[in-house]
Formats: sequence, C-alpha cells, structure tokens
Amino acid sequence: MPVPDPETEFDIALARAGLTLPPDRRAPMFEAFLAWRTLRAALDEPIPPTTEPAFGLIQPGARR
Amino acid sequence: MSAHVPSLAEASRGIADGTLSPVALTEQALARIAALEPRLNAFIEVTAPRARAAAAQAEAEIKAGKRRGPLHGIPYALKDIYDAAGLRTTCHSRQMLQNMASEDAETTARLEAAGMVLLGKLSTHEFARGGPTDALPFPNAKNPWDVARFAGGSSSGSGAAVAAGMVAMAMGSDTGGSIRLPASYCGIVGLKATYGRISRRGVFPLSFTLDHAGPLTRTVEDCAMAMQVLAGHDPLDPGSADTPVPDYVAALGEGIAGLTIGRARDFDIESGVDAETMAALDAAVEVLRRLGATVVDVTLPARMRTDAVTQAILLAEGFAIHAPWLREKPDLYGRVTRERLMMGAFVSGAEYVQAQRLRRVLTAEVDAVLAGCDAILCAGTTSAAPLLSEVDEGPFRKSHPITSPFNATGHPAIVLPCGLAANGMPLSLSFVGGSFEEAMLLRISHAYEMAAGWRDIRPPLEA
Repeated sequence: MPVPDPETEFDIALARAGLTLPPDRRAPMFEAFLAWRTLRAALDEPIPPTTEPAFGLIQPGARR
Repeated sequence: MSAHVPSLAEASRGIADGTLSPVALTEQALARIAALEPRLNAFIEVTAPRARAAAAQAEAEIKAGKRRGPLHGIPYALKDIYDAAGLRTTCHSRQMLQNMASEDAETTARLEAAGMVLLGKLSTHEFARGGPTDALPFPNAKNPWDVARFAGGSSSGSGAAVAAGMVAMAMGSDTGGSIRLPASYCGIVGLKATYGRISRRGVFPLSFTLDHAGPLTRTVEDCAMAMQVLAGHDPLDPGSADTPVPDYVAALGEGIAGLTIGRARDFDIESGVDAETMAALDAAVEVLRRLGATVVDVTLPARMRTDAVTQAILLAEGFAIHAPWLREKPDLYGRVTRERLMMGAFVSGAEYVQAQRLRRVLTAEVDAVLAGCDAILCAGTTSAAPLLSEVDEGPFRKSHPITSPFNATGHPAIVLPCGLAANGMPLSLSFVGGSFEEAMLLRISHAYEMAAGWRDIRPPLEA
C-alpha cells in the first residue's frame, strides 16, 4: 500500500480523530506534524520480536 | 514583609521544643503569601480559613501530647491537579473550573494524616501540558528570582512558592521534567521518585506511563522528610509498587566516602548544556571527590531514541485522556494546550507500542550503567532559567533532553542547586539512581548540599 504524502496523512489523522483546526492554525500544526514525522523514525530501531512492551511497572524488584 | 518560612526540619524542631507553634507558622506563611502573591501568582486559591482551622487543631493536639510525627502542624501546598476533598481541582483550565473534589488524592490524604496544614492550590501549566501562557483563567506563576524569566513547568506555582519562602514543601508532578525544571529554575530541591514509589491516585493524569508525583522543597533533608510520608504502596493506583519504604532521613548522615558516581558528560554535551552549567558541574565533581567519592565517566542512551519514546507515549496517552473534550469543547482549552494535546492524533497504534517496547530497552541500558556506579551525575537542566519571551509555545514542544529520559525509564532523579549564573539565576545538577534507591540519592545529595555552599541561596524578594 503506498504511503500517503504528508499533507494527506495530516488531514486523514485529524479527520479520523474528529478534530477541526481554525484555518489560521493549520500551518503551524502541519509544521509540528512534520517535526513529529521526522522524530518518529527513531522508533524504527530493530528490536527482537520477543521484546514485549513495557506497560506499567518495569523496575527490577517491584512488586504489586 | 513576613520572613521566609523555616524549612520543614527547622519548623519540626521548633514545634518539638515548643519555640514555634503551628498557628504562628501558618500566620507567617499566609502573611508572606499575601505580600508576595501580587508579584508571583504562585497560588490559584489560598485556603486561609481551612489552614487556620487545621493549624489550631494541630496546635491543640500537640499541646495535648498527641503529636502525630515530624510534619505535624507544618504548612504545605498542592499543585492544582491534586485532589483535596472539598476544594476545586481546576488543572488551571476552563475545562475544570467547577470541578469539586470529593476525596483526597492518596498523597493529600497521607500529608493530612501526618498533620500537615494545607495552605492552598498552586498554579500549573494547563493540565500540566500547556504554558507558560497567561491566556488562561488564572495568571501564570512567575520566577521569584526574576519575574521576566521562566519559573519552569509544569509545577510552576510549586517551584515559585517554595523558592519564595511562602511554604516549605509543595507537591508537584513530573511527566517530562515538571518537578525538576521548576526546582532547577527556582533554585530549590525537586525529586521525581521511581515510577510506582508515590501514588498518583487523585492526581489528574497526563500520561499514565510517564506521570510521577513528588515533592519540591528547599533542602534535601526536607525532601527526605516529605518522602517518608509520601512513599508507599497504594493498591488503588495500578502503577503503585509494593516495595518496602526505607528510613530516608536516617540515610542522610552516612556520607559518601567509598561511593562511585558516574559522570554523564557526553549526555550533557549532547543535550546542549551551556558552559556555565558545565563549569558548575565540574566544580561539583571536585566537591564529591573531596567527600571521598570516586567519579567515573559513563555513557547514557542516545538523545533521539529517548525523545521519540517519550513523545510517542506522552502524545498518545495525553490524547486518549483529552480526546472527548478536544472534539466537543476545544475552545475551553488555551491555544497552547489544545494544540499540544491534538498532536496525539498523529501517533499510530504501532508507534505507541514500539515506543513502549523501546522504553523497556532504554530502562535496561540505564540499569546497565547503574550497575557500575551508585548514582549518575548530570545537569539539572541545560541552562539557568530562560526569559519568558524565549520559551517555546508551539504545538510540538521538544521533550526536555535531560529530564524526560528518566520519565521513560522510571528511574528516580533529584535536582538541587549547584551555583549561580553570571546573571544571578540558579544553576542545578541532577543525580539519577537505581530503581527504588531514593535513599541513596538523598544521601549523596545531602552530602553535596552541605559541602557545596548553595543550600541557602534565596531570591532577592525582600526589597
């Protein structure tokens, strides 16, 4: 499946979330979205399939 | 003007030996608040009648030989995301102006049970996320050292009130640095304890994974005294750990001879710590060595990974909490808060899960560093407090490079003053410790604080 261009992805994400932006805030929000899009690439680090998510407590020795 | 209130330890000793009364102490605090509040805006609500009644009750109990403990009769204040039964919790937002708390937060209940006297609710960045901005129902707290400079956030009122001597201890919360940044910028002590160490029940959430509750105080000894009451298991907080609570105060006098401190110099450089702060940290290293500690260089995880992890989790979880209001009544948020919360719409489910997986990897990497030392030394923040006009109010605020990694990994971190910048503003350092090793952090911090000479710095408010 083709990856949508940033502007399309931006509009789809807002529509899916049910959010509306005032016209004068579209540009700064789109710029912020692009900054997040760049940063999120750091999450692509390969990690083994056996690495589970760390929900809740992850400290050694913790009991609950 | 009424004098700076005494520290928790000084007040406790005064009450114990009868030279200080809870009523007099509370009146002193209320008078100082009245004098300084017009300049600082630290409080959203001052609960003077309630405080006077609580102080009178404490005084009567103590006179009757029923002193509850070392904090009995001493005033404190709460960031206005903490519930206190019968008081509003507004989160500094129009969304919550009529929100009356029916129960105490677990932390509030613990402080009340210890006999402390609540003075009121403190200013915060809206929902601990927006700000600093004055486009909100209450004004933004100002930095007591220089009102043109940032007080830090989001526990801005907590930092300002303690630094200004209005109160000896205030509660804050820390999702990406919101205890440690105001403590750093205001020249006081702030502790983000281990995830799970202090209950978050009754504290309005921003990110279930990253939120930590904790105290801001003037001294490390005060921080230890507060931790003795605050730490402990809460079965009704799903993130709370059932881990034994040590004697934090007793550990303070043990010194640091023979300990190993890991100096995270590369981490500070990568984070953009300025030359003044680096010089203050170099001086701190010499103090630690003089006290008998060994200081070695250590390497922490790379910045980009920690930033991506904390942003993905914070954005997604904050959005999950606020999505209904963002859809239905977005105009009740300030612009800064609304846009920052909306950013969560751009985080996919896979990105959130990947961030949670990487979080576990990062935690293991920090644990590996801590296997070779008793604590890590890094800057408290990248510089002294910036001017308010220099603070980013955009939709995508960067995670703080020094504080936020330890929200992701859950390790405890404390900040305390380590000098003054050329412009007279406080500089700070941070010690990061192993999970549930707050006693070690307090021990190291106390030894440093007593030797370094920055313990009694005060903002120039008396003129």
